[in-house]
Amino acid sequence: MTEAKIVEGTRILVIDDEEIIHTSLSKILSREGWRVEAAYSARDGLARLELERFDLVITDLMMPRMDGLHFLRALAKCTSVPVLMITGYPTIRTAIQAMRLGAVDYVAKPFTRKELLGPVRRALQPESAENAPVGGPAGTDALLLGSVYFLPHHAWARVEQNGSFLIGAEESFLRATGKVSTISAPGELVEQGHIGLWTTTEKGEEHGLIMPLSGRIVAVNRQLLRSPSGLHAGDWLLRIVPSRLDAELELLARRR
Amino acid sequence: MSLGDRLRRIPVAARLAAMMAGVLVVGIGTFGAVGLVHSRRQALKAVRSDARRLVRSLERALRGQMLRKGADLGDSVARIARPGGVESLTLTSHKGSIRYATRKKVIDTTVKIGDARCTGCHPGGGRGHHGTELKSAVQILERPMVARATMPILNARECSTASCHAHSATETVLGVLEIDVSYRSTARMLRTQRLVLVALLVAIVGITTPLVFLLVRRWVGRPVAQLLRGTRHVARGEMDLVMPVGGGELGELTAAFNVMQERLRTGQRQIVISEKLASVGKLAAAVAHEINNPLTGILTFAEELSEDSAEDDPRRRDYEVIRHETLRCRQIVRRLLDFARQEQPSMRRLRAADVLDDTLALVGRLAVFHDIRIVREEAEDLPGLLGDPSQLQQVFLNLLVNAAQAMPQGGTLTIRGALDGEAMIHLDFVDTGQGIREEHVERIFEPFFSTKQGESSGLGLAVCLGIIEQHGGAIVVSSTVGVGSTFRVSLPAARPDEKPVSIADPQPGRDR
Repeated sequence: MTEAKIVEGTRILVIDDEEIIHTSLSKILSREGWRVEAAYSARDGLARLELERFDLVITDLMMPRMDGLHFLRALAKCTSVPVLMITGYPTIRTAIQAMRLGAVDYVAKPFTRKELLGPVRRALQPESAENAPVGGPAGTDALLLGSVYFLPHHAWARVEQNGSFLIGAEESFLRATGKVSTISAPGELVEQGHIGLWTTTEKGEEHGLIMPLSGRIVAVNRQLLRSPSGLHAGDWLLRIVPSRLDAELELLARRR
Repeated sequence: MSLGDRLRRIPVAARLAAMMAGVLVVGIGTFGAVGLVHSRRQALKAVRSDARRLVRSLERALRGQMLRKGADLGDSVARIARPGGVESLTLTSHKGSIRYATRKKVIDTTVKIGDARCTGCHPGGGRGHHGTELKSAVQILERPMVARATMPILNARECSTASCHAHSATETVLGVLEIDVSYRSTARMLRTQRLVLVALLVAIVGITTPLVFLLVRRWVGRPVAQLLRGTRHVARGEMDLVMPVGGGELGELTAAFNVMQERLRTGQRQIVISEKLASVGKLAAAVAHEINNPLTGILTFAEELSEDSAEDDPRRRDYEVIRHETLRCRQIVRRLLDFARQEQPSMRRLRAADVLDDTLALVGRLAVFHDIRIVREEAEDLPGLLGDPSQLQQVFLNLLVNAAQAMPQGGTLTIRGALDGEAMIHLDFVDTGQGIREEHVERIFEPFFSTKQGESSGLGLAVCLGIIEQHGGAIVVSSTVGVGSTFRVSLPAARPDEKPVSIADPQPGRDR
């Protein structure tokens, strides 16, 4: 993975109140040749960001005194550094909101090395910071056949007949990962906010595609899974029957 | 304890019996007393007229005797008076001297002018004739029990012309005949009558009161005591006492009580399950938050160790085990949390058949359904219901997939739909699979209970039950090992005018 090293001297600030997270992150990230700095509170992190230059901020969503969302708002005022959220599962909802607020991506704890490295690499891509997420909240608008909802930088879901949804990868995800060479076979169920499919790029990097909705998979695009090199943002990958549609749609953005 | 309290403690059977006895005593007693007084009056009237008749006949008989020469009047008098009939007889002259008497002692004594025998002619007690009440008179005496009848003996022509020349023609009244007629037998009869009445009363009360007591205790007391026992049982939280149902209103009450118990039992079970779910949710959130950070550490180090160790390092496999098991922990925590965030349904008017159509259209594509024949037997005219289509679809999907998984060798999955009365729609999912063991049937809706070792989270049916209960319905299962299982989903039918109301959906009824 030596060729994956992006720039020597890439500096990453990790903000978390738990020592073990710092230890884990620095273990994984320093292996890639990046320099990892630690801050133990959001306030501390903001202070460091005002004085120093960082290429990426990785922050916990739930910390004492200032939560991740407040932190994101405060950060947006002083710098344009890309922010990657890490979160315990209870705040998936907040994590998705965080992406709508400008975080480039998020990773759920506990994470494996490849689950962390994919988003970090995508976030370190030069263009990632520029495309702030778009699209208004989906709200409770009428669910029309063909409507498309999406999780920024990951996947979209399109309303189909029989109450099922088709799921595909977002344009920005494919751009950040580069050409896909293989796609892993999915399981039976998918969960909103969790990785449902793994792609491997020609460079050998693995990227997890986070699912926009929870549900049971009723079909997979076998042809595409066999030869994914031509994967396009418009192609569907999975067909699912959603299980928590009402609560989950609210969290997604809607393409108009 | 006050008297009122003490009275209230007496069983209802005893109170009813006592009341019954009281009513009988007062009723029969009054009736009997009136009858007795009447019959006494009648009897005394008869005694009186008998005495009068007797004294008249005696007067006539004695008159004949007296006129007969050489007759022994004393002997006649003695013969007339017999014990039990005429108790005593006196013949008194108008001058007051007793000439003949059954009691020999009083013969030749003089009667005072105030005597009852004299008052007919001498009402004031004076010597002169003040009135001539020359008729018989009867007086009832209490002690001795006799009717005392008097009869004046009037002068007649043959008296003064008789050979004895005892009376002159100028006299009006020659004397007075007085007899005492006993009415002891009548009195005895009356007393017997009174005794019979009292005995009858005692007998009636003595028989009916215990009878009423026993019957009331059997028909009322026992079922009421049983209900009381049942109620106390329920109050203690035990709802397993099914009571035998008798007849009548109390029988209906007992039956209703049993039904109530059954409902309570179901309700309690559901409450226990939902409480379990709620506490599982809270626990899950707390555990997940606490455990995810250490799990992150373990995962990172396990991966590090695994990758850094040499290919032939025997510990490499151990590190892999740690990594793998940590990932399993993560999966468990995620499932827990998944389950904890069950959503409120967003209701709209729909037809169960439409949701089933949609679900079956999707399910048909799954490999597990390849050898399964699906038969639909739903009533055509099933009414609509209020429900969340995506949640109901999730439930149907779960039940269908479960049914298919129970038939790995293939089989038939029958879906029946019927209306129960007007309120509930029953959807039966009947499979011809391996069935569920009896000890598992009660538990399959419990969270984290699974018979599919490791393959299932054990949450599918618990989530289904949660969804259906939020729709005001129920799921019950019946199963026979080797024959198959039936899952019955019952959902309340929508009334024709019923509008969907939902907290989750701010614009109800709007088509999505």
